[in-house]
Amino acid sequence: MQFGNTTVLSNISLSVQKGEYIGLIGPNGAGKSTLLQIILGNIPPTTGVVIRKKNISFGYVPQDYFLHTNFSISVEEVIGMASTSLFLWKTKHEKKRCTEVLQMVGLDKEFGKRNFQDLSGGQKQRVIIARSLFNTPDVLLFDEPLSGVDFATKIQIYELLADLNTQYSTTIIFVSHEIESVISKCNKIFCINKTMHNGCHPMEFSQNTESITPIHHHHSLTKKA
Amino acid sequence: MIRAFIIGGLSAILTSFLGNFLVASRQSMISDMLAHSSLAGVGMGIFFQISPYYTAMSISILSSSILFFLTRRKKTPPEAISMMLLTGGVALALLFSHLAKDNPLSLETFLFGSILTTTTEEIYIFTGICIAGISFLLFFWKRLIGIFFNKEYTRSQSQNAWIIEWIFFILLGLVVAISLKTIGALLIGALLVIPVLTAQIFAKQFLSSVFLSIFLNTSGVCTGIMISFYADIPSSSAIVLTLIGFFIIGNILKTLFNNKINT
Repeated sequence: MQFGNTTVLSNISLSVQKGEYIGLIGPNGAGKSTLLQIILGNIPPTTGVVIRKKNISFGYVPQDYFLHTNFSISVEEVIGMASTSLFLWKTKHEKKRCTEVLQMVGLDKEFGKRNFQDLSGGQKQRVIIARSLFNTPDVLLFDEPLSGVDFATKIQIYELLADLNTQYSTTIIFVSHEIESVISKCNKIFCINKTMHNGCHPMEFSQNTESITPIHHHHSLTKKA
Repeated sequence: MIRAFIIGGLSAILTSFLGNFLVASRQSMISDMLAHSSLAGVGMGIFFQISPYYTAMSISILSSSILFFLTRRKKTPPEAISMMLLTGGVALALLFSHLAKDNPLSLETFLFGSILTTTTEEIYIFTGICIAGISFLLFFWKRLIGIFFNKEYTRSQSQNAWIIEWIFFILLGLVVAISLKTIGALLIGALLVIPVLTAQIFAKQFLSSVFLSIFLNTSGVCTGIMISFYADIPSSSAIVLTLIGFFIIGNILKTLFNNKINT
């Protein structure tokens, strides 16, 4: 992947199976977020191919999940951003789904009516995860989502993600620059710093070979010399 | 007087919708920028002796598009671009009005506006824009909330979100340009921003903030027009001061109410 003359990513090859919990770690500026954008399909790779399962859907939790404003907006409206329907009003299905996803992240139905700006950091983070679950995605992508959250909340969120992964067999790709955030829960961990570092740490462990389903997502990028 | 109420009410409704999105994303300065740069259009219209409405609209749409596309690349700070377009607009307006010295139409009408001299034709144009604008906003409501509250996320969800955002800024440009003669360039920002600030004192949801600001805006505009008619003072200053009055009253109410709960 190149931006102008700068090569941001090269020799990346990874495949993700359904139900896996993948950790992608690397230092700042390693190209992790770029890789996520490539996986999402928002930027096309300069060379190489991304193979996705047909009609695969992604849930995305961006790096800066705090809204850049303290303007009043209800939790329902924040979750509604994920809705693909048009018009101002919410359909019955949307209302139901909103309650469902709030429950999935361990929040009450009453939270829907509350002002998002009045919530604590951890609650906001849960709401944003709920939003990414709204369209029942096959794959959840987290882009360093816990940079502004205290330790106790971080632990809660890791538990929540592990639950989502086991209960609903949601595939999760978790990007972080801190190894401790991915080490305990992930099936596979990849190190990235402009390229793949396969041998940098005991990176692949606890592989459930029996549960591996046919590859539905293959991703590879190569750099032209 | 009835015409003034109609056009005032219509602009109050539409500006409340637009203003909530602008204030939410901290872009309320854009309204001021658009108002000043569309003055360049007014100047052009006066100089070339064509209807200043059309030239103002085209310049306003042009400058909102320039701003939009320049700030899509993250490196350019939007407020600096706004400032450039604002001063550029005023410079051009001054230049053209200087060149067209002996024309009876003056820039001053457009700086401060006069809602009581609205024509029937203006009402028709304004009604059209209002209906089109509000239907656009209601139709893409959830997308627009996404764009103005969490751009990075919305861009990852839908590739074409920028088109909706661009149309929003075109609409804003249109509304500002068309309000020049009625509300005035210096005061159109008041309709977009002050009722939203007042609504924010009470609102817990975005939608309730929109409804509350529509109510405050229309009642502020109508009260302002009445005051200006009976007390014989400029309509736009009556409107803006009424809106600021609402803001002060809102804050006082909130403080009293909070104190009551605390004691």
